[in-house]
Amino acid sequence: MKRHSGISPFFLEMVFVLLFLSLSCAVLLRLFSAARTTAERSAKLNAAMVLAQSAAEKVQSAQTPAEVALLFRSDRHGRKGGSDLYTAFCDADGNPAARGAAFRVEKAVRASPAAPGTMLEAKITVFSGDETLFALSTKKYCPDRESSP
Amino acid sequence: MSEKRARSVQTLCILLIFALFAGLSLCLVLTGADVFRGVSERVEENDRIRTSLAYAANKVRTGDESGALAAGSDGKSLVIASRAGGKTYKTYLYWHGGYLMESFLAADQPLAPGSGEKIARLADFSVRRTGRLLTFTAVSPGGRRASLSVCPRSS
Repeated sequence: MKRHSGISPFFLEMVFVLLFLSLSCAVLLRLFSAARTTAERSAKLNAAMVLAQSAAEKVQSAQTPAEVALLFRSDRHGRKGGSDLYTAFCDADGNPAARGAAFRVEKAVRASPAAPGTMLEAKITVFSGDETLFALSTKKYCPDRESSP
Repeated sequence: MSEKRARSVQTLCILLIFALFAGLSLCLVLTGADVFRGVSERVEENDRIRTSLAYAANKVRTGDESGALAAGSDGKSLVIASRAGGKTYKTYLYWHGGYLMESFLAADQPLAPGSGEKIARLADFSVRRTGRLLTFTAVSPGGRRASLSVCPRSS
């Protein structure tokens, strides 16, 4: 005599499909979240690179060590490890902003004598919170005005 | 009677589970599409800004000769003069009709803004000269703005 369990095979199948769908949902939502995070990080890195590049070009445009201070006059100035440290805060679009903004751009500029002029070495670091997003170094030789032709 | 009732409860359960399955699938597809749209828009916007700024910076580097670079009086163009075969030519990098465009013309030829080559779709593009620095500002159609400064070595 055939015995019925009371649960149809279709019902069981639907339960398994739902279970599988829930697992897929969990995996896919994690993937979506990872994709969003990666895109946000990529946008941040992009902005950080543009900020660092612009700061490096500013250092390159200085013709004397004193001009560096003029170029970064809107930044907060301090001293760190024998270098002049210029700190600026920028929003997500790279525009100047108040303290605690999306990015912090630190320019550590060290001037050392390199007769007959001065060698400027700058390390530019862009932070987002405490995380270092991008860093680059640049050098600029400033000949003495008297000795240059 | 009770068997009939049990069967209808079971059918109802199946329908509910099927509705849940359909609802979850729809949610998943909609969320996926939304995330994909957001990510691709962000990537595209980044690319547009980065490409246009890098393109302008590279143009400055290639045409970096004394007196060859000038920001247009309208603040929306960069003019790069170059010489070839005894003739002077001008490369115009400018914003027109929602695009960053480029035109390469003989120096005496007037610029026809509409006839240039489209480089990237932008909401705005401006060029400013401050001291030795040339600053390019690009605004994407989504409203994101980025500025890049370049110091021509010849300046």
